[in-house]
Amino acid sequence: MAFRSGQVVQNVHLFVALFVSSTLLLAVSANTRYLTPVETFIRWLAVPIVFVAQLPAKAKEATGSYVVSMDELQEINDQLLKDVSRLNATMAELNQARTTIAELQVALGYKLENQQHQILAEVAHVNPNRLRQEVIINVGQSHGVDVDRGVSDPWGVYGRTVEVFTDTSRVLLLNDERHATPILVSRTREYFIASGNGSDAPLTLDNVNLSSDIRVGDRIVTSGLGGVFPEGLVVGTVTAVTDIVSESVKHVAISPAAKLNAKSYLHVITIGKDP
Amino acid sequence: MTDTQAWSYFVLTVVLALILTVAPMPFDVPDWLRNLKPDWIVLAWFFWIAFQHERCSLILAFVIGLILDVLFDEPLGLNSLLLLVLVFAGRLSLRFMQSSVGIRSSISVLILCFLVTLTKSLFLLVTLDVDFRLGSVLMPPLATLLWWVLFIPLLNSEHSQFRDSVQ
Repeated sequence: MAFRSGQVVQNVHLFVALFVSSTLLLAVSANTRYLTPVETFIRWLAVPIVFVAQLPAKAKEATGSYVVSMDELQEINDQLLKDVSRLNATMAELNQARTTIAELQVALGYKLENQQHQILAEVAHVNPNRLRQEVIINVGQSHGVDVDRGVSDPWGVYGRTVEVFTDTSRVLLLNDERHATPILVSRTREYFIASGNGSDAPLTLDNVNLSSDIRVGDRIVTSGLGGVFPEGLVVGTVTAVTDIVSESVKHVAISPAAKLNAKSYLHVITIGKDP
Repeated sequence: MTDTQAWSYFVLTVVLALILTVAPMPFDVPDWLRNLKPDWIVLAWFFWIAFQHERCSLILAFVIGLILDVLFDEPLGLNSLLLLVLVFAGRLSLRFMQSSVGIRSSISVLILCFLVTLTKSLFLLVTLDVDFRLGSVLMPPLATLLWWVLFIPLLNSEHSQFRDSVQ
């Protein structure tokens, strides 16, 4: 390897200039939102890279969708017919309940203000950053999605929208360290905040007093506080409760109900307005 | 090989590293395999720092860093700062290790790759205010190290031939 001593010196000025630029950018972007247009422009520039990067996964998905045996198709079809039948029965029950609720509302003079709507979405891209639990979904402003909307999968709470673009949105997953969900313990009706701890760790409850009656197996649902999630969405199940006597608190671990590492359809929940 | 061809190889490998970095792992891949994904950007840049350091443009490092910032949803300037330091410090350290300590380039790159990726992991943990976990800190450098070890036989055989053909 032939390093010329002058060559390094020549680059020092450029290095210093770029170093200072990076530091300034870092200081501004970490504390303000002035650079959002620049980020949007760079994101637009990076679209071809993301497109090429996703090709193998898309090819695998397409192959998986089209190349299936007749037996497999028959099996899937049978399962779908059973699901439709079961869902029809559930739907009939729900319609009956809805009618009863409407009658009760009229009788009591109560008007439900926050109607809940759902927008179907799919994961378009997963953030490759190991320290971040985020995905990009294929619905955005043009579909009626706003910032701070709850997102669920068929099994439970999935996350919330944190940035919305024209046709896509960035979703912070339930297990991201920046995510906090106001929750309710179904059995005891106690309110807590569930915090994410990264991809390989369970959710934990903050500030659980030693006197709390929370137990392993308790079902955790959203409390409806904060207005992001409606009340009663399944968050997960308590898997461990440890008393930390020195701090006078309980450490509570929760296994999320949502399949955060699986590909499935998602629902963006909009409360209080039609999408 | 002409100089233009060598430049296109350089840009191609850097873009390829970027694509591999962004490429999502399938959902059904187990965690241990997911953790073996190396820091492709560090690998690509160190390959060129070690064997054609004059091609390692600081401006390109800055631009690639900005793209990484956006794709990784990190504050703008974070990855560009890291890449700039990586390229600059990498050049200086390699020169020092070769001239003063006399370590062969592949071994010195191996050590530097590990140290740089480790520093990067720690820096990201602190900057992004993420809880410290040994796995998050150690896995990226170890995976990068493993991939570099896999590269060494290939590099040793191709290096001199490639360098001669460019010069």
